[in-house]
Amino acid sequence: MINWLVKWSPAFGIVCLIVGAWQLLVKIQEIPSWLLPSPSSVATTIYNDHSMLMRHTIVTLEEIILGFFLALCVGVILASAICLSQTIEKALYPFIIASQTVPIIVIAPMLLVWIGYGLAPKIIVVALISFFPIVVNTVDGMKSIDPDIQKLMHTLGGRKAQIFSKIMVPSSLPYLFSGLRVAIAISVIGAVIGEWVGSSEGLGYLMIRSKPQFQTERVFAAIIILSFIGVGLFALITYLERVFVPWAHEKRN
Amino acid sequence: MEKIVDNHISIAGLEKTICQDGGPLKILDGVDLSIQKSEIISVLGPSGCGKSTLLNIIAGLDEPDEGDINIDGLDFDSRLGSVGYMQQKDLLLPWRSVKDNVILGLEIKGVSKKKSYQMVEPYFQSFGLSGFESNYPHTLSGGMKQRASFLRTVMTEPDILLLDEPFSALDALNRSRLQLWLLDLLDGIQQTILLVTHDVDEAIMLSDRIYVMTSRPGRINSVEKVPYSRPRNREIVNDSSFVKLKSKILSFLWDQD
Repeated sequence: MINWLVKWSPAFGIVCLIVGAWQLLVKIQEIPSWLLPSPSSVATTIYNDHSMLMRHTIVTLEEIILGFFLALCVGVILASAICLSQTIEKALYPFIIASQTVPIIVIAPMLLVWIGYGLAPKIIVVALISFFPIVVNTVDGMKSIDPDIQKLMHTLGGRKAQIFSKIMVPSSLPYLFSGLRVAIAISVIGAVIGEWVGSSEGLGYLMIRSKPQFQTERVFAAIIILSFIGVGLFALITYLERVFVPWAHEKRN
Repeated sequence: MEKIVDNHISIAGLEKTICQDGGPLKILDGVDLSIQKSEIISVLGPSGCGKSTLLNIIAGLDEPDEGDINIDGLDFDSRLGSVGYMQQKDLLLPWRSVKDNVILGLEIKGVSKKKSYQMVEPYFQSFGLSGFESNYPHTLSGGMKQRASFLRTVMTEPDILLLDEPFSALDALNRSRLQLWLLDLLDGIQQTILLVTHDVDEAIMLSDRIYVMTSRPGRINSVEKVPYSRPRNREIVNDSSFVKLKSKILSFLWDQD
């Protein structure tokens, strides 16, 4: 624990610096709290409204995790198909890239119209923006195998399916985890956007509802919780990488 | 089945041309080679003489444009997977422990994991790997990696072993140590071995006959018989006939352009 605190002390230092300067600025300039609430009033709001915030946090967390898992499954299946068949690669890859050029903020309201109001459209929005880094990284990983290792597998009598399962899948894992780290960070944004276009609960909904009511403390409270979710899930994935891909981690250090 | 034919591998008139930078490039030009059962043959030559192409063709990874290859008991299609081929790099899989790397060939052939472990167990000692069975490859020294790679190649019990400059990635001291180790190991091995190298000492020390190749396009320049029987003593390097053979081979290599 002590080691951990020492290791991350630069980050804590920056947080203290920003929070301190912010508190001072609000105090000296006498900025009204609906315009910019002071850190202490945001903290008070988090403390006072914790049960309400918790309820919304759980909803958003559920959307993030379900959407992320959907993205993981779809991403890995697509990447495998792309690496196993050149025809599939040529047929699908352009559309996968094109799907990322359509602004999610345009698609999200359409999803609401098509599938309705509920958990499903939010999960799809999260999955839509987070599957892309997963596919791209996994494809790169599967294609990064040394041609000499391929030769080795052939001379040992390995068939295509064995090369895929014994070589391509394990060698893609470190790349997959890089993709997952990017994906988890942007899936938080996805969940918020999904809630903005139509919902009655979640941290994104809370932000959208609190702003016109000049409850700016709540907006900031939601932002802070969202960043904790993002950092926490990122750390969780890094931990899982150490468990599942120990060789890559050991090599790096 | 009793094998009655003396020549284990016979190759005649092998030709191979590849396309490089838009033009055809002849790599092998009429290569003849014959190897008897249990014989150890070295192929010596400058870089780019087509040694690796030759091995690829024998292993079944590549096809010649012209020429015949006859490997006793194997038709062309079944060569792939039956000829053991150890490449220059160790090619150990970083996500597998030494033990799991070594059983890769057995695993591919469908041997169960438990049985495979039992089969490799007795070899760790003589391959200098005992105590490191569960290590990941990146924790091993260069010599150990190369020995693990060699063990993986022999575990599938191929009749023919192709070794492509197996020691070239090592420093001089480790290389000579590994050569001596291989010299001892070869006494107990029945396989036919084709060793590609550009180290003349290595070739003389380890093999029964030496094929010297010319640079591109690759041709066989001369075939030298090594005047020592096996098992061999490491002291042969000081022998006058060793030095004589070495200077003869070196003159072949130096004289060509």
